[in-house]
Amino acid sequence: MKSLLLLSRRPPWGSSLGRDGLDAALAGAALGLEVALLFLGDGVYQLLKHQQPPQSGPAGSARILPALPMYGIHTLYVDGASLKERALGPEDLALEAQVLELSQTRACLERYDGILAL
Amino acid sequence: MCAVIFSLAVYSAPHSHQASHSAYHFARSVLAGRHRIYRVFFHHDGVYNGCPGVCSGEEIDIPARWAELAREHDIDLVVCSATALRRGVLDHQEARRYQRPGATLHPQFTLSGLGQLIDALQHSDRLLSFGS
Repeated sequence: MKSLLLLSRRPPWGSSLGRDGLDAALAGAALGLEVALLFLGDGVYQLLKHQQPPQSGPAGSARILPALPMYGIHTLYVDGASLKERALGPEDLALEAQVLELSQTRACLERYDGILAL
Repeated sequence: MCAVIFSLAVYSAPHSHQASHSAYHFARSVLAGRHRIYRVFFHHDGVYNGCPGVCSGEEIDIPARWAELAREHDIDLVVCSATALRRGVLDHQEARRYQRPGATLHPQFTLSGLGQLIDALQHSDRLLSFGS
């Protein structure tokens, strides 16, 4: 297996699932896999600009996302329909992510050798 | 028929969610169908699957069932160490290291890193997630 796609479906607050998913992606990258992230559903909130890490509660993902390139993770995708449903657009995102339409999301899922969904 | 190699990732605690129960019954069915389980990886709240709790007579003691399954079929039960430590799920060595009163992890389970989840993905035909 050479490539791994992490489906990140959880918001950056309220639970540590979003953060734990990103940790799994980092582990994949550290083991030499080509890792990409696809944000969909409430996972798109992880990419929003102007986020403040929670002052109390589970650690969010805001601190990990900017460090992704250091781990060799350069490919971020975001599901266009999930953005639209939440009245968001690419201009609201803190990181550059490729916006995928439904058919492209499907093709993206087929392109990777392994998929982890969180 | 060719045996399929499965790994399971479990993300929920056994006493508050259905997911661990579904994962356990799925694992039993896989083995009954003469397929194989390479590893069960417990992440996030799933690490509580490794804590032997005290169950009332009506409840299914999932940690004990996992341990039994692992002994019978030589299955690797791995608990994510980073998420386990935060939740106080410790083996003897970690309990000593962090000066906690004692181990809370069932001895049939192993604490290890997320690399074991990636390894499971690489060595299985299918990885199924339960409870995320």
